[in-house]
Amino acid sequence: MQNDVGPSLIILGTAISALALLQPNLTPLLALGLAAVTAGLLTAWEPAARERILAKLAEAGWENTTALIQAAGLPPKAYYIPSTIAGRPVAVVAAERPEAVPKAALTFRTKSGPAVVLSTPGTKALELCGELPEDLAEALRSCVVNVLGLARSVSVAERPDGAAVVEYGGAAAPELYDQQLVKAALGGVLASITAAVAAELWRRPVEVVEERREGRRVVVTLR
Amino acid sequence: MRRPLTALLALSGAASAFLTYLGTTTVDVVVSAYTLIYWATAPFLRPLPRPVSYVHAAAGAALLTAFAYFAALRILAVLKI
Repeated sequence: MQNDVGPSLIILGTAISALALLQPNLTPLLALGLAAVTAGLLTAWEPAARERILAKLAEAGWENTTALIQAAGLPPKAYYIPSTIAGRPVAVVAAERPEAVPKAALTFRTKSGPAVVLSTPGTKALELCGELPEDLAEALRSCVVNVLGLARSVSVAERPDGAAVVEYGGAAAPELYDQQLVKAALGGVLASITAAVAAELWRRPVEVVEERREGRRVVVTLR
Repeated sequence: MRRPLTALLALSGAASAFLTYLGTTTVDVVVSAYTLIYWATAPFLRPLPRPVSYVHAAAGAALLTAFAYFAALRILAVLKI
């Protein structure tokens, strides 16, 4: 709704200003029209500009994470681990699916080499969303649509091979690390939140198999 | 940012109502009154992120230019030049 207030004020202000200029006895309304246009422009534009700056500042953290993954020589592949296994919802970047994750560890060793434990957008989303329903579709609707407001609709379909295909409509998630290696590992913001929620509900490690964006439709496949 | 914008709208509405009551029919008085209100609320709107701050300053400069133009016309009329 916040996004609609600005354009509405601009249209209203333009109409009032036009009326004031065309009708001589209503000229004083020009002040109100100009004020509505000004308020509309600032309401529409200011939050987006501020959000872009905050995302840019937060990029430093994602650059460090990318450097950490590269320095450890790990493939860009993350496994989302539920809090029942790791103590808190995290993602583990490792060459293979980890059997166990030491609590409060940043790095640990698996049979196939080192592994890095990361907090993800999904971790933070779970903190914001709190208690979730047991059904994945209901949980994603409650969290991603109702609490976070990052998509307008969500649907979940099960594939015969056991993978779950989650489709978001009207997605409006910010891109926090679009050009970084960490995106290949964790998936985008929506994919990360989806995988973290699924891991919590299924109580087992989950990986993002595929993420596809077509306009404002985002399809995430989990296994 | 909500309070300064509300103040801008409220003051402009009040000015519009008062000027309508006075029977004002010329644009110059209205633009001058709005320029005053715009710059009075501007310090409370800051800080604004770029490029919004540039647009806000440019709109303010345009209003000041219009005000200067209308003021110059009035002064020339008084001086009968």
